[in-house]
Amino acid sequence: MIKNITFLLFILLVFVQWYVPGSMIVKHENVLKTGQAFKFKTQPIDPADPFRGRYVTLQYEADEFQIQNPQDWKREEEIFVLIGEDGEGFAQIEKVSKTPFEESPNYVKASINYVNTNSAPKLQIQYPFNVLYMGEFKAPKAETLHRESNRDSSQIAYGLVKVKNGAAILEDVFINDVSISELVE
Amino acid sequence: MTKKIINDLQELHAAGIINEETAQKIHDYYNVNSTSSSNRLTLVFSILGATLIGSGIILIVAHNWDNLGKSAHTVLAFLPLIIGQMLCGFTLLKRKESIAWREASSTFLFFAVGTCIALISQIYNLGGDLSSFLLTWSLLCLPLVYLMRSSMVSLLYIAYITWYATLIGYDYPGHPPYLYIGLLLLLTPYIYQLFQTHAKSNFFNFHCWLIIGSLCVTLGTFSDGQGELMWIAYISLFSIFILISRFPQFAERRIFGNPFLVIGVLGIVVSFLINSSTDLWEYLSKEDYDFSSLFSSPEFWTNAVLILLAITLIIKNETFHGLRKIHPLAFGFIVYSFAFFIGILVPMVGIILCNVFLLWAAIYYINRGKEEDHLGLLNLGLVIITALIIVRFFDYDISFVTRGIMFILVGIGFFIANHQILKRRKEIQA
Repeated sequence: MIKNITFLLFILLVFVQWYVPGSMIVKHENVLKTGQAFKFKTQPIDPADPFRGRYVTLQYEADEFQIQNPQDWKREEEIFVLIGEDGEGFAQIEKVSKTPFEESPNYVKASINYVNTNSAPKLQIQYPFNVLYMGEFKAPKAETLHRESNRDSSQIAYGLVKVKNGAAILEDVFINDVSISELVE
Repeated sequence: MTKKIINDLQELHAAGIINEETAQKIHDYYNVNSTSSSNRLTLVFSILGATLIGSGIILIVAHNWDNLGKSAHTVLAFLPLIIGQMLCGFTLLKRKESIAWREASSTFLFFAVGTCIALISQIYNLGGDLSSFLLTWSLLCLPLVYLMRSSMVSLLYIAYITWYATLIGYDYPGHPPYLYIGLLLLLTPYIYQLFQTHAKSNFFNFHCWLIIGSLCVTLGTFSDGQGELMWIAYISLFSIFILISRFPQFAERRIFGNPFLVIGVLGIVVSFLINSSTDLWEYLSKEDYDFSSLFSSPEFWTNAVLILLAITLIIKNETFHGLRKIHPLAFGFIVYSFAFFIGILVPMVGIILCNVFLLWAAIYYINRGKEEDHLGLLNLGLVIITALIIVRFFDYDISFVTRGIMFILVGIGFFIANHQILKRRKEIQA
């Protein structure tokens, strides 16, 4: 009897252990299929930035937002960032809030990197989609290509991000509308 | 060694030293022990083998990773999980009584769960921080401790929740990881069951060492702005360790088989040695203490819980051994609490109390060592005095001559005390 109960509980555990990674995939696919796509222009990567294993670290131009009262915000605080598009079709921050936006699904859950308290106070925002995983041999080439493209003003690098109700998935990184994975083949 | 003893049995029996029944009992005893020691070896190699096989598979797959598509990546990410779950299922149905099977299959599944989540995050470019990953991983594997009765997974669980707590508590901006307490409490039924049934096993010893290490590392994370108060918390924790070491199940063990005693004594002595210096008390007395918000601070509640626990254990110890037999170092938390709150106003009081407490403890151990003919206790007392003098050596308010004389006196004390005990032992033997 005890053996049967133990085995049944184990089967339940198996389902739970499948559910967690499974739900990660389902959520990812849902955002990819039904989320709104935004192009986030990337900033030059610091060449000294340690290159960890197999991924490319990205920084985005649209990561600062002016605020009125810096004392209302704290470092590492969770925030919600409403995303819109500028005149060139690239992502820009419309609003920042401590609670989810009800008027639109096009917002991202992020955190405050730091609060700039000088005469024009701003929030420096840390997005969760700042890492692109690539193969260990492709990633260094991708990083070099990306850095060179940011030095050359005729080249435009951006990350294509699908956004929906706080979730954001970095689909790919493009340089002049060509996927970085194709460029490093 | 075992073979030699068994070979000697016939000789002893022939010489009439032992009878046949005794010889047979000795023979059976050593056979059982050699069987259990070979079982332990099998167990260790099984766990190592499972870990190495899992790591090897991951490395081979990683080498060919770039050539595969997303679907293949996903299947491969789940494959170790499926294998681990099948092994555990098989163990539960067919090999439930085999420790080697239980430990090896659960260890494999533990790492398979983490690998699966990490790979899925990588394949689908999902963000997330390390602390959330560790928390999810630990919680998904905690049931294995109970279902598979796996001590190895239990040890891994303690290590991972400690890692999680340090990330939450020590990484900027840092806040107390209250969830760590709940996570540790979830494991207490298993640890208690291990204590009841296998208190002398290696696995239980490893648990003791790991839990002690975990508590020492994470206690500091419960500080939130008034870190100076955590001295009281740490000394209370070390007092608790010493008091636990006097429980009947631990009291009969050799010193290094009793981790609570080792870490407790070491912790108290080192803490008091640090607090015996002038510089620290001058620093403590100059700090701003926000006593208006004391009752809402995590430092206050941490100290309150630990002090209450220590007092409860003193009462418990008193029923085991009587008050006189309780290690004086176990009272360190009472002395230090007084010393702290008076010392931040009058530093000299704090300095004197810490020095006198250590001196008193040292004299107690020396006397008890002589009474009970216990070289370990005697030398512990002498080591405490020596450490105190060494620390004072670097205290430049005391002259060279004074320091030199103190060293010589303690050195002579070492020789005399040890000589007396050894002489008494020889007289008894003669």
